Amino acid sequence: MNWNKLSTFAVYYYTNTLNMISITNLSFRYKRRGAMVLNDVSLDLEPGRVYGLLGPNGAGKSTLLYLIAGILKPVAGSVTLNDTATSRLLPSTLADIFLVPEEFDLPAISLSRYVELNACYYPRFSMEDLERHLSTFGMTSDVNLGQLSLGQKKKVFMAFALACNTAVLLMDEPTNGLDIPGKSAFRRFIASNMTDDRLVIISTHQVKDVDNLLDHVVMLNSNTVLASASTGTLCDRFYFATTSNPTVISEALYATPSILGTNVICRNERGLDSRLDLELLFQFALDNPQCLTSILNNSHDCE
Amino acid sequence: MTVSDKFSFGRMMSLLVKQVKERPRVFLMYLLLIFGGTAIMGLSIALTEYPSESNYQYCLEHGFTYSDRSVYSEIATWAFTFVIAATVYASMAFNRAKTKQGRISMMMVPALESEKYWAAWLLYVPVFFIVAVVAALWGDLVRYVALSCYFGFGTGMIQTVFNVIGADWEGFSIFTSVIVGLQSFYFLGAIVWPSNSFIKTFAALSIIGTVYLIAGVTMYYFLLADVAVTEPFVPQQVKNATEPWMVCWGVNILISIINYTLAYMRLRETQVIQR
Repeated sequence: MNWNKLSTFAVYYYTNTLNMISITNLSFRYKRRGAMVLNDVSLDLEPGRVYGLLGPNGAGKSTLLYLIAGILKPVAGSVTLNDTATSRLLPSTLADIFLVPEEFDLPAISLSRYVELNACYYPRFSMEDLERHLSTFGMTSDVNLGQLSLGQKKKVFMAFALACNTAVLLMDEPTNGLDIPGKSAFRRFIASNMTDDRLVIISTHQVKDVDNLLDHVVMLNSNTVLASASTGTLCDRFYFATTSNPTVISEALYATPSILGTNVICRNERGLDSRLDLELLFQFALDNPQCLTSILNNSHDCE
Repeated sequence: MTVSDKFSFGRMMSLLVKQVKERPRVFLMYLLLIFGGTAIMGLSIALTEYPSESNYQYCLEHGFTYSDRSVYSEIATWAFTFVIAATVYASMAFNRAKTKQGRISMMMVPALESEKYWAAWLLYVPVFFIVAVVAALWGDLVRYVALSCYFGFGTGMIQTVFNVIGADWEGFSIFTSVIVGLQSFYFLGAIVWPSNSFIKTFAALSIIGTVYLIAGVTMYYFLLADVAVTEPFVPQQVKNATEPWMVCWGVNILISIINYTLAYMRLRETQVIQR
């Protein structure tokens, strides 16, 4: 037996399954006899990536985040982190997941007191990291949480979340309430703190705020996953351009007028490089979901 | 460093401390409210009752046995204060869960549900009650000192609440057992209805009490008038018991165990959005 190959495989398997979230046939509804919010969703989310959870209002983005965090219990299926169901709310699992909700409440105490009371639950918390993250947002650690504005609270909470160094970081509409420098700082903040063992999931409908950050896009609509693909795959399959060429416009999969011309999505048959336009892709996905899915699946159904 | 999934006393205590330190003003206000309330009520009761015929001098002059009537009125105030304090504060045990944001914060803390439950129970049931008793005793001490300054120390005229409780410890014990039982109902109400839980639990208990009363009266007049009960609501065994305080404690402990078990089961079912 070749032990070297076996050990290499073991290391590869271990690093690729550690901190991995598996969502299997997940279904959820809020009321017992109500409509399904999520229906038979299956996804594997790997560490070292930033996932973007996109979808229109009411598509189930926040619900999916809550299900991943374990604070909602699925009607069917499961969400597991390292093979442990997150809905069991075990301390070891919760210490590896940090959820930054769209709205949250912080007690009216000093940040140092807040850290003293909450950091003890996260074994990898680092005060140096917290100060570094706060400085990214132009803030210091000697603040009173009761005296901060909504945007400042969000910055402090996100800095604390990242300083906890959890394996999974879930963020629901993180750029809501942030000013323009804050949004830019947020992008720097996530990009500069990504590690191979950290998994970040950002749920948003403000795709412009996060489009450069994402490694992988998951689109939700009509209770299910419309598309799940890496940004690399999306750029391989689709070509994004702004043009006034009527031929290109007529052959485009999707076109929408803009000030500079017409924004189009075409099939990328010649392997051209283009900058991913998530907003346009999202509109295309809502307009013609079957076509998007068939191109991502390498079929030619939408031609 | 790994995080243990077994019950940790240290983690439970840090949750308890976290609850207090995150809202220190609420707890300080609670202490001051009980202390100030009992002190002011005690003083006002005493000052309105001492000039009456129960006046110490009056009793001495006319050869009557003196009893400090104000202390009895204050005991009634105490009883009312304790019932309100115990039930209101048991209702606040899961106050944080009344908003979606609060519920998320509560559920995302890396601790077992049993640790969260016992941290809330310890703080809002026994600790609060002990704090209430201590605050009320301080309030009574203020009354005692203030009146003694006014009427003179060492005359035996001013009594403390302790004197009276000591004379009727059985009544005190029955009263305490009722509070223990009541607290458990309000604690259960706190997890079932995190918002407006005091009012909702009060309404629920009133409805249950009314139904029990109606059922009791109906049973008495139509079914069991000559069988087992002497009064509609008090079973014969309780009425004839030689140690009624033991019966009261037994019943209230049983009720409490049932309510606290139900509360724990409800907490385990809690989700970010109540269904």
